[in-house]
Amino acid sequence: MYQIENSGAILNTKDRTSWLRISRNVLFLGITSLLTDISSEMIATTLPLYLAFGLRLAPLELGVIDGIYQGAAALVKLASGYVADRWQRHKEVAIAGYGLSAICKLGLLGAGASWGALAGVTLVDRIGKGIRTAPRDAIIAASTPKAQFATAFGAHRAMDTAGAMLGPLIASALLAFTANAYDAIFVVSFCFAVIGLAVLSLFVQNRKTTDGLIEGTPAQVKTIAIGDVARLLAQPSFRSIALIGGLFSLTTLSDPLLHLTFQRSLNFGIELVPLLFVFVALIYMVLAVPFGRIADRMGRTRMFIVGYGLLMAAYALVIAPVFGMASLPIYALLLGGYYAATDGVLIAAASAILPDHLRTSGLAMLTTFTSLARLIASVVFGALWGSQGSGQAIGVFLAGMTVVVILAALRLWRVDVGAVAGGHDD
Amino acid sequence: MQKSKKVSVKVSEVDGVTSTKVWMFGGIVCASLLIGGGYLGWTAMRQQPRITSQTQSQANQGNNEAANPQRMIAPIKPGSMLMLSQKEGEESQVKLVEANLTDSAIAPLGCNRVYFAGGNGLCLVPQGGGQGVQLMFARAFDSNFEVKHSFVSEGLPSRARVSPNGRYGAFTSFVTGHNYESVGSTASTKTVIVDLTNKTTIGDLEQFVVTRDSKPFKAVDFNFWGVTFANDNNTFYATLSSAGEILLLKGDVSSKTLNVIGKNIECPSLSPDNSKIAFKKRLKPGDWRPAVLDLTTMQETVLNEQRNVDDQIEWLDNSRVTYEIVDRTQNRKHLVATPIDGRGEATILIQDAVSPVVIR
Repeated sequence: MYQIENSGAILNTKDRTSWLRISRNVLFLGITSLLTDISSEMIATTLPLYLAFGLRLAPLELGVIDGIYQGAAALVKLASGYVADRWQRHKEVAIAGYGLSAICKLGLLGAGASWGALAGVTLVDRIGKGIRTAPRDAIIAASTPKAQFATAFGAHRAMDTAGAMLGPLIASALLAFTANAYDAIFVVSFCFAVIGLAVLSLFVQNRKTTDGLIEGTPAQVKTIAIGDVARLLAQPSFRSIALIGGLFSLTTLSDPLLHLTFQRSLNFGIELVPLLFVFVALIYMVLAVPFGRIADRMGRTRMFIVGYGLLMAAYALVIAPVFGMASLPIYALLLGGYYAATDGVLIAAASAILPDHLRTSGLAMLTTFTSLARLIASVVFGALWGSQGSGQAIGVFLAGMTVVVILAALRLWRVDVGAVAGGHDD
Repeated sequence: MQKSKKVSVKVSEVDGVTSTKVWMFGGIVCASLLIGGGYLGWTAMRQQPRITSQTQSQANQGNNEAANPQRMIAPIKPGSMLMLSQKEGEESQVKLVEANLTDSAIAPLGCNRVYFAGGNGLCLVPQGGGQGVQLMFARAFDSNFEVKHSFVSEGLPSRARVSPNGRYGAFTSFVTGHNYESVGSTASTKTVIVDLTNKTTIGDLEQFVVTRDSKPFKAVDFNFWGVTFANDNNTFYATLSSAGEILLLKGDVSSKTLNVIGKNIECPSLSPDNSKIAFKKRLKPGDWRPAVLDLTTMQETVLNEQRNVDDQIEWLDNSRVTYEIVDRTQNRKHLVATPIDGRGEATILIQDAVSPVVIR
């Protein structure tokens, strides 16, 4: 993991921490994400128990919350991306997003058993998440030379994933220690969020000029119109990435769905499913930086396509777990590898292509496409599962993904290579 | 602001991490630790009295029973009732209520749904899992509230039943996360039958063979819930929904078979003499009334209850039932007692309690 040996290292270092070759901004944003993920995963682990146990709300009411708000979050994402670009205020917008989510941890305390208030808090939390993602990724890009984008995003995602792993563990430990005092968990979660927010506000710098990467001069900044954002899609390479990214998401199952389908096809104990989450996250964490490095050398879009190749192998394994129980670790390796090869790498590839002054808007647009496509994928998978059974449903997704991989290889194999070369020029 | 690039680099390095900021950060971290740690400490102190009284009640079981009837919580005796308390400070704790309905005690067991019969109990507990997968434990406990075994299943706890001799247990959970996970409008249910004596799982009802009008009946949209065991400790009834229909099933544990025997009888519960089935009758989605079906005459009686009842009904004796009702105005849940003749009104049985179990 990425620890700092002593605080002097932060203070004295020249901007780039040489042992990792990531910039200080990336390191601090990573720490922010780590702490925020601890905070939010603590809540995610506890909330179902709190609603069912503490408040005794019917389970049916539970599920409704989530889906509806993802759409709302997508709209906010686009708006926040535009605001961050228009006024070149990435850090401030990110702070607003992280801050909103932090307040929500306390909001849960105040909501009590009121269904409306709980729904409101969840909505605001989602909005906070929608606001912060794109500006944060834009700061990462602005703090990194183009040739190292994928490495930087890999390092950030590794820290982020570490937080996602720690959160449930801390929550479980606290639940045991406090005899199910949910309010105490919300308070502790809030504290983690506040420390994360402090790291961001105090140590992350808005405009990194290390490599002279921000090209948007004040004059340029003022001329950004909404039309400029829309015109990003006219740029062939970004359009390809957005299209392929969206199509891939359309054939991508959420982890819980995939894990549970796998649990059924291989018939292992359901109690291993949470362990599966941990192992996949662990592998993702370990591979994120090395895969990022390879991606920076051989081309990010190529790495991205290879990643979906790994996911296809994982799907095939779910349909036919031919290695018996050995299929479990192989599955975790494939899935963890898939995340390391795609999650940060796609953002790195897009960041390299997008013009600096419109990067946040472009990233917001891209992730809006991919998350809406995932939403559709879940519904389609549900319908297929209901009518055909899970094996066939995954088969359909695998077939769809094969088509997209071929399409991606044709359209994207060369896209990013040029961009990297361009990056070397300045 | 006409600085050259080089100058602004220097500026950013200088005010990137200043000692003021480090001090401020230290302050925020300390404050957070203080708030978080303080709150945890306060939580521990707040819980102290409750935990002590529980330990005491356990310690006092043997020697001080007569002086302290409140503390006689174990072993569970016929005539008493078990339920889950909804009182503030003891939410979800198992509560034992004596036959006189006034003496009660809190047991050292917390559940989301509880049942007990023939010396064996089931206590359903949701158990995190994270990232959309919800796990649960079905804890098998004995008449001393001692947990003997935990079955793992998925979903959120919904219903639990144990056969009269304590041999078999059945539990139902809501599973959200399979199908329309992100849309969340439809939840499926999962019902598992377990052998409490041998601590083995007999099977998910999805694995049982279903027949309807003597013909095999199978569909992917099958959802099972609400098992109730008969006095022969092998026959059981349950609900099956498929293609919008609510069907009553009669099942057989040993042969793992199920047969459709009726319609629109949801979440059945057999009377102690096994002559009737109490169930919830669906008026419209999300709105149910308690009703009773006489198995010999097949006569249906809707009980004199105006409120929505979403519970697996429990029989107090052969002529009265109990179930949970929700007081929406005060956000409280109570157990009521209602005669099954369709005329007698519901009266409050125990305030602030759910998941009723009558020990026979």
